[in-house]
Amino acid sequence: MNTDALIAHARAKFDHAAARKVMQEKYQARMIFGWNGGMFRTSPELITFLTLYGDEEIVMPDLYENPIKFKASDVCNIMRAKWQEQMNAWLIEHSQMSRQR
Amino acid sequence: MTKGVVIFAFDNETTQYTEFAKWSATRIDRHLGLPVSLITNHELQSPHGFDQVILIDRPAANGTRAGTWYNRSRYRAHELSPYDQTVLLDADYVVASDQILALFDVDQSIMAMRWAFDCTGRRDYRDLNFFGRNDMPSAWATILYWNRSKEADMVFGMMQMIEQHWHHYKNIYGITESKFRNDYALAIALNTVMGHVGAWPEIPWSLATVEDDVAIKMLSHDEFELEYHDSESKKKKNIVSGIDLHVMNKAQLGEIIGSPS
Repeated sequence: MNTDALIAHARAKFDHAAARKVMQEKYQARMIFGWNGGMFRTSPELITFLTLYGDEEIVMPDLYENPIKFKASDVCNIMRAKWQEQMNAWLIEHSQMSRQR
Repeated sequence: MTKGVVIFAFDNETTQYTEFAKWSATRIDRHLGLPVSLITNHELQSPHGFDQVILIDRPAANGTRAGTWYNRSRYRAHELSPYDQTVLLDADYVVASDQILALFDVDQSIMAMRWAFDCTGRRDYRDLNFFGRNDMPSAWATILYWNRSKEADMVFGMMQMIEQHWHHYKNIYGITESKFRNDYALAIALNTVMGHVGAWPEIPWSLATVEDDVAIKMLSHDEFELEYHDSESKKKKNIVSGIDLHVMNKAQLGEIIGSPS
């Protein structure tokens, strides 16, 4: 790398809008998981819904609109863990990104 | 049920795709813990890190873009895969997460990537996520999941027919690009087999894409710096980590693979 290239590299500004978009896509993808042959996306609405059913077995359509039977608490626990883990990771990465110049 | 990843790689005058595939196999092992089989046209020296190296004749060239493309014969993946459940990846697909594992837990015969996005945010990809005169929904053949099933068999059979009669299908769908592309063949095949409703079982996340004018540098195993010019020609950078990438800049990817990590 010559001097001009080094200067240009140092002057490259961090693209916050692009970084936010990539992060959003990444963490949305990480909310997805397979269970009992179905594919589900973690969401606060689903966690709340599943909480109502406790240990009962329920049937819910997955992302492909296939009905899947499972124990509500099993899936609720996975979703809560995913939500906590990924949201915390997102927050940390977002804070680090905010400091980038 | 056996599970694994298959990569097609045919080297050309500028790019050693088999080296990309070797590098990719180590990343797949680390993140997914799955065996990888390579489909190529020449023997590799051991140890090569693949579960199997499956030899076939190099397909006919189907255009040039930074070197000759040998992307045909993708329809043979179904017949050649040694696994009951397979994920097919392009050699330039960089695995940097375990996201793909979710695909193996679902009862779907075949799942294809529907949406891609630009990691630099400069393009909205409307022109790539739809194609042809009638704005058909695209499928990205960069990553594809299937299991041994009648449905998957039909999709690959349809892809073969499309490839062999490309001129005909190109005209029907109003595709202006003359070059055969697996993405189009896959989209047309899926759409046909699933009943012409413009929808099929999608991989439920988007393909993060790094365009070929982006300089990409590996900062650590799963962290990459992207440098590019925005629409006002100002130099910008972005750092992406822990997300799988489709890297179109083959020269830069070659440099990353060739450099000691």
